[in-house]
Amino acid sequence: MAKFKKEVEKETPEIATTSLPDIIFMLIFFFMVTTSMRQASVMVEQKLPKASEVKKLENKSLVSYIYIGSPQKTYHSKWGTSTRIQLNDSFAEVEGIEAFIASERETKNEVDQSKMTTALKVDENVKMGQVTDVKQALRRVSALKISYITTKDSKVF
Amino acid sequence: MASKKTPGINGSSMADVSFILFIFFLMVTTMGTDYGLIRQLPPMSQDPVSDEKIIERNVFVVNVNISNLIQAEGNVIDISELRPKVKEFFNIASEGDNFPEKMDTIVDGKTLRINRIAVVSLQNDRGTSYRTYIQVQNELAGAVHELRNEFCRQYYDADYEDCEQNIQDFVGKKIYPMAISEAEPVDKSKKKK
Repeated sequence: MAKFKKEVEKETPEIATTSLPDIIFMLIFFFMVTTSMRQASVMVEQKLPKASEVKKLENKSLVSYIYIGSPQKTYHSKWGTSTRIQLNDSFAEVEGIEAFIASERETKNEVDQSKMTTALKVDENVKMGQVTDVKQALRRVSALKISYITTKDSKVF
Repeated sequence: MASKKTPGINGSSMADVSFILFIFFLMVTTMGTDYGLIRQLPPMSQDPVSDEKIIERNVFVVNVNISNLIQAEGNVIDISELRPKVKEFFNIASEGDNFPEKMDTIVDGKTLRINRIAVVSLQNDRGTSYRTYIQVQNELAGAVHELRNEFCRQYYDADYEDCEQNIQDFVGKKIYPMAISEAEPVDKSKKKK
C-alpha cells in the first residue's frame, strides 16, 4: 500500500492576539456610549405597572429617582414589609423628599433646573395614598414635572 | 558605535487590562431606558379654587375607589370602556347637552368648533392601587392621543407625532389639550368621622 501522507509533526501556529485589546476596547466604547451610570441600587420591590402611551425619559442626568415599594427580602428583618420610600441609597420618610429635591437641585446649574424631572418608580401594588403624599411633597418644593415610570406594553389589561 | 535594537514591548497583557476596564463598565452602568407617563403637577396654590366657575357639562368625572372600581360620570364601568367614553367626551364633533361647551375658532380661514373647556377630573382614594391608577391615566392619555391623531390625519394627512412642531403645538394645546385635573387629596376615611 502506498503511503499517501507523510507523518510529519506539524506545529500549530500561535494565534495572533495582538488585535484582542482593540476588540475589547471597541466593546468598551460601545458600552460607554449606550449605557448610563447606575444611580443607586434599588432596595425595594419594583414590579412596574404596564402602560402603552409612554414617552422615553430623556436627559437622564436631569432625572431624580424616587423608588416606592415594600423592601426586598434581605431588608425585611431591619425595615419590615410595609411600603417604603427610597431616595438615593437609603430608605426615607416623605418629609425627606424636600431635602432630597433641594440637594438634587444644587448639583445642577440654573439653566437646567427648570428641566429637571422627578421619576417615580413605584411598585404596582403600592396604595395611592403613599404616592399622593409624595406628589404633595413634590408640589411643596415646586418639582412639578414628574414621570410615572412604567414598562412599555401595548396590552395594558 | 553599534546600533542597539529596542526590544518590542510585550503587549499580551493589554487584553487583560482592557478586560478589567470592560468589566468595570459592565458593573457600574445600566443599559435600560426608562419609559414613563409624563405629567405636570399643579402648583401649590394658597387660595382654594371657587366651584362657581365650573360647569358640570365641561367636566368628566372619573372616580377610582378603594376596591379599584372605576366610576365614570356616575356609572361603574370596566377599564376597557373608559377610553371610548373619554374620547366621546373630548371629541369636538360630539354636540349635545352632555358634552362640553363649544366655541368657534378660525383656523386657516376656516371656522372650527372646538371645546371651550373640557376637563377630565380624576379622583382616587388613598386605598386605590397604583396599578389601577396607572391604567386609568394610560387610558385617559390614550384617548387624547387617538383624538389628536384623528384630527391630524383629517386636516394634515399625517399622524400627530409626524406633524411639524407648530402644528403639534396648535393641536396639542388648542384643540385637544391633555386636560386631566386631579382633585386635591381628600382622606375619605377621616371625613366620615
